[in-house]
Amino acid sequence: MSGSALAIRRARRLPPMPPAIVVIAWLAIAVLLLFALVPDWLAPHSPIALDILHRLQPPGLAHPFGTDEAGRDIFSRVIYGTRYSLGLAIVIVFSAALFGVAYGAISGMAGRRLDNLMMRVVDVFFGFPVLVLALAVAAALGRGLSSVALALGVIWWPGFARLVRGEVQRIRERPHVEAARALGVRGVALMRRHIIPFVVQEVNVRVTTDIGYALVAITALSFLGLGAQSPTPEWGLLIRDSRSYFGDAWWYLVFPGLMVMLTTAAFSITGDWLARDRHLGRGG
Amino acid sequence: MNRYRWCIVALGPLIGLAASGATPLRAAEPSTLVWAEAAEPATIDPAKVNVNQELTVARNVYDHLTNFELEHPDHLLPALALTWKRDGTDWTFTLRHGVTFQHGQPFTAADVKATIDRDLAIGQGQSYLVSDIKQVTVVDPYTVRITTQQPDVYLAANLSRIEIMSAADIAAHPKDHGEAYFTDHANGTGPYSFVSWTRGEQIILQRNTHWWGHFPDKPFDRVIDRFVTDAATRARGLEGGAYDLANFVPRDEALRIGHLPGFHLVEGNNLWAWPAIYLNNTLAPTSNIDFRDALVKVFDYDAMTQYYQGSSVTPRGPIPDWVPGSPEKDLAPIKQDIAAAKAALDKSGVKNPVMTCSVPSGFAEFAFAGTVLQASAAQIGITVKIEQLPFVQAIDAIKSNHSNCFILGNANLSPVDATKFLAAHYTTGGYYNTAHYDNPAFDKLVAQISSVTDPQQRYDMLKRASQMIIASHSIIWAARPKTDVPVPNHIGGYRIDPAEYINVRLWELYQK
Amino acid sequence: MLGLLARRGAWSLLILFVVATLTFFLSRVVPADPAAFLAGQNASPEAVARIRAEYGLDRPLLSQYVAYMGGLLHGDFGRSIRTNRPVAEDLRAFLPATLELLIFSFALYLLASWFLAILAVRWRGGWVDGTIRVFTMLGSGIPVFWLGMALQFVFFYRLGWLPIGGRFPIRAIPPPPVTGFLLIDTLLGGNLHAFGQALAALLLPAAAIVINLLAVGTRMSRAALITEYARPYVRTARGKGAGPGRILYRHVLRNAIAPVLAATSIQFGYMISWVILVEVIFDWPGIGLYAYQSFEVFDYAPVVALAIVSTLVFLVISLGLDLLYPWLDPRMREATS
Repeated sequence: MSGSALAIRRARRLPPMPPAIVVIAWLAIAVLLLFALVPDWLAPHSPIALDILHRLQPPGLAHPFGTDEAGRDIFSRVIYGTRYSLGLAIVIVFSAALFGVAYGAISGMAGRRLDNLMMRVVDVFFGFPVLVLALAVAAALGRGLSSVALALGVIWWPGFARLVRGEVQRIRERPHVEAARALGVRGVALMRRHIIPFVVQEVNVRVTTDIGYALVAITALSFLGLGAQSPTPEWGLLIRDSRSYFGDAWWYLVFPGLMVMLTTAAFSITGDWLARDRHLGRGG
Repeated sequence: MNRYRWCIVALGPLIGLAASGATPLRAAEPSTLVWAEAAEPATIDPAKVNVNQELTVARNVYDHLTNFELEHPDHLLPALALTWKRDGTDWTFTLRHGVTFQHGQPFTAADVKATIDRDLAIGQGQSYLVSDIKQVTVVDPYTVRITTQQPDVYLAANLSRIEIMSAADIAAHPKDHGEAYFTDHANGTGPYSFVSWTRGEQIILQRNTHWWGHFPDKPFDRVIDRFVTDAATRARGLEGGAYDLANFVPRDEALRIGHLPGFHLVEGNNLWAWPAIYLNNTLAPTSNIDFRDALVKVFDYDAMTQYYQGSSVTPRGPIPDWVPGSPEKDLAPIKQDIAAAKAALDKSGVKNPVMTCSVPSGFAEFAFAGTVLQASAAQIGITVKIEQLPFVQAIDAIKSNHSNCFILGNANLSPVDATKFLAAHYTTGGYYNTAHYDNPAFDKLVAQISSVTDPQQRYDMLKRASQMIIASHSIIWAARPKTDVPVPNHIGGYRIDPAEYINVRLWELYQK
Repeated sequence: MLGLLARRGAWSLLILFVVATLTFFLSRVVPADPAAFLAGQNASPEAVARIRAEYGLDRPLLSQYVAYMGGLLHGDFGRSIRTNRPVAEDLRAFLPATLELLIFSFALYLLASWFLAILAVRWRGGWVDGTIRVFTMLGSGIPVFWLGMALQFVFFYRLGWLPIGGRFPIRAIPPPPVTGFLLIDTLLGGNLHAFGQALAALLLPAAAIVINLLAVGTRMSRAALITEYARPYVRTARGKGAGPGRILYRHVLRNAIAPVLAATSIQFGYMISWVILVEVIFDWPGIGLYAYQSFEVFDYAPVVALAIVSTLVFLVISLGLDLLYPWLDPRMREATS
C-alpha cells in the first residue's frame, strides 16, 4: 500500500488493509461456513447415495476428490462433513470461551485465596490427558459426537480461564481501573466496562486459533472411533474409513486430511493477524 | 556460524547410524517367517482358545487325534490317532507310538484323557465341539475309549480341533486347572514349539525337529507371530516385505497385492457368511416378522456381489454348498425384490420404521454391508442407524437389546459337523444367536442330527433346520465370498483350511 | 524452595486423586460386561459367572472404588482382564517404550523449534523466515494420525527407507533389556548397528509427533523472540556496537526463555495425549496402545492407570519447568521469592 494511502487510512482511523494471505484465509473461512450451513446448495452429489460400479474412482471431473468404497462422491461428503467437524469445533470453542472467560474474570478479580483455589481446579483439568478423558467419557456415555463435545469442552475451558485471569490481573492494576474504582464503580460493572473490553481482543485471538486445534482434536477422536459414527461424513471418520483402501485409493486419505490442514491454517492465519493488529494498536 | 556447523557435525553420525539401522527387510534370516496377526492372544491355553490369534499358536504347537483332507473334509486322516471306530455311544481310538512332547514326555492315552477332562471341566474355548462326551477311558497306553451321551457320528471329526496336552503338565498345575500357567506356557507334540511371548509385540515359535509328521523341503525354522492390530499397517507391511504373511488383510488390498509382481493369490472356501446380518427378534421394530421379511427382501444383494468383484455368491441358507452334506442346492435362491419388500412392510403395520445396527469395527466388509442395508432400506422408507463398535461392545449391544441388528461373519470350526454352527448361531442361548431366535422345535431338531447314522436322513434334517431359519427372516445372508490371501512368491505351500478363519498351517510352508 | 515443593506436592496428590476418581467412575457408569469376553464365546454361563466373581465385577461400585483406591496406595492398579496380568506389571512392561518415544520426540522438538525460531528471527523477513512461517501455518493443522500414515506411506511404502512400525526390526534379536530404553540398551550392549536400528524405528513416530508440535511451538517461540527484539535494551545494545549474533545469543534468547517454556509445558501435555494415536498407527508397544486395546474390550483398569500415569508425568514435568524459570530468568526469581 502506498505511503499516502496509508496516511489517509490512518487519518481516517481505519484499520490497515490486511495482507493478501489473510484475505484469502477469510474467503476460505467464508466458503467453509457456507459448506457447513447450506451443503445442499453446494455439493454436486448426495453424500450417502451408493454407486457401487464407480467405487474407488480416482479424482476426475465428475468427482473432484474421487469416490469411496461405496461409490459415494468424496467431495460432497467433505462438504456435508463440514458442519460436523468445523461446526462442532466452533461450538466447543465458543462454549469453552464463554465459561472460561467468566471463570477467569472472577478468579482474576477475586482475593488471593479464592483465586488460588479456582486456579487449582483449573490445574486439575490442565494435566488431564485429552484422549484418556475422551475414552472415559465414551465409556460412560457411549461413542458419538456428543461425548466428544463433552470431553473436549471440559478440556478446553481451562486455557481460557488461565488466559483471562492473567490478563485481568494485569489490567486491574492499570490507572484507568484505579480511577474507576475511586469513583465508586464496583464488581460486575467494573469488569464489564473497564476490564473485559481489554481482555476481549486476547480472547478473540485465542478463540480463532483454537477453532483449528479443536477441529484437529475432533478428527483425532473420530479417527479412534470415539466420535462420529457411520455414515456421518465427519472428516476424521473419513480418514479412518480410508485406511482399508489406502493402497488403492490415496485420494480417500489425502483430501479429507488436506481439508483439516487448510481449515486450521485459515483460522491460524486469521488469529495471527488479529494478534499482530493488537500489538500495533497498543503501541508495544 | 560455528554453532550451526557444530550442530550439523553432531547430527551427521546420528543420521549415519539411523541409515545403517534401516536394515534391508529380508536380510540374513531367510528361514524365519514373520506372520502379522490382527490381535494379541489373550491366552494360548488350548482349553480356552477360540479366536484366530489364539488358534494360530495352538494349532501349530499342539497336535490332534485326527486331521482331515482340506479338499474333502469328510475324509479324516490319522494324526495322533491311527484308527478309530464307533460302536453306539463308544468311540475307540488307537494311538500313534513313539510320539514325544516338546519338553520330552512320551505321548500316551493318559494325555488324551487328561486333556479332554480338563477341557470339559473348564467349559470354554472349543470344548463345545465335544461337549457331548460323557467319559474318557484309558484302555491301555495306546488305546482310548470315549463315550458320549448320545451316539455322535461327528466326534472323530470334531476331535480334529481338540489340542492334546501333556497329562504331566496338567497334573503339575492342579490349582484352578492351571489356568494361570497355561495362559502363557505351551508344551505340545506339534510341529512348532513355543519359545517366548513378548507382551505387546510378538510370540516366537521354533520348528520341532522331533515331530512325528513330515516337513517339506526347506521349511521355516523360526516363526515370529507379530501383533499388528491395524489392518492398513498389515496390508502395507505385507506389500513392503516387512511381514511375510498377514492375517485379515482388507479385501481390496488383498486382491490388489495378490496381483502385484512378487505375489500370488491363494483362493479357498472357509467362510459360511461374510457377512451375515442378524435381525433382533426381541426388539421393535425388528421383532415384527413381516418387518424383517421386508428387510430381507429389500437388501441389495447385487451390490455385495459387485463389491466382491464376482468371487462371492448370495447364500440361500446358513450352510455353504461346499460343506459335506449341505442342503444349499435344494433351497430357493434369494434375490432383492423391492415390490415384495414394500408389501411386507405394509403388512407389518410398523408406523415408525427406525432401527439401529451395531457393527463390529475393523472389518471393511461389515461396514460396507451396513451401508448397503442403510441405502437399500431407505428406498422403502426404513431408517437404519449404524454404530461401529469394537466387537465385544457391538455384540453386547444387541444381546442387551440396545440394537436391532448385528453384523457378523463366521466360519465353522468343525470340518463336517454343521450342528455345532447351527447351535452356536441359532439355538436358544447360543453365543452367536444375536437374533434372539427362539424356536424349541429347531433346538430339538439340531440336537438330534449328530446321532443319526443315515446320511440321507441327516441331509433332510439339515434342510428342514435351514428352512426354519429362513422362514423366520431373522438373517440377511449378505454374501458368501471366497477367501483370498495374498502370498509372496518366496513362500510355498500356503493352503486355506475350510474349517477355520484365515490361519497359517506352518508345517506345510516352505521357502521357494 | 522446600515450602514450594511441599505445596506443589500436596496439590499434585490432590489432582491425581481427582483424576483417578473421575476416570474410575466414568469407566464404570455403564455396567459393561467384560466377563463374557474373558470367558470366550461358547462358554457356559457358569464359567462366565465364575470369572465375574474372580475379578470382583459383581461387587457394588463403591466397594470396588474403595478397593481400587486402597490398592493404588500400594502401587496396585488392579488387574487387566485382557492380558490377565496385574496392570502394574503391564505398565512396567510398556511404559519404557512410551517414555522413550516421548523423551526422544521432546528432545527433537526442543532442538528443532529453537533452531527454526532462531533461523526465522535471524533472517527475519527473508525467504527463510517466510518458508518457516508457511510451515508453521500449515503444519499446526496437520492431524498427527494423518501425518503418521503419510510418513509411513512415503518412507516405508514408497521409499523403503524406514520400518513401518515397531521399536526394533522384527527379524533381528533385540539387545538384553537393562533400562527398557532401546537407545540406551543397545549402547550398553556395545552394538552400534542395533542402536542405529532402534533409532531408525523411532524416527517416523517421533517425526509425526514433532512436526505438528513444531509448527505450533515455532510460532510461539518466534513470537516471543520478536517481542524481545522490540524491547528497548536491544536498541541500546545495537547502539553500543554489538553484532546481531551477540545480541541474539547473549540477550534475546535468555530473556525469551520463560514464555517459551510456559508454552512448552502445554505442548508436552498435548504430546502425552496424542501419543496414543501414534502408538496405534505405528504399533508401538507402549502404554497408550495398551490402554486403547483394553478400552476396546471393556477392560478399563488400564485406561484409569493411563490417566493417572500421564497426569503424573505431566505434573512432574510442569514442576520441573516451573522450577527452571527462576533459575533461567532472574526477573522471575524475584517474582516467585
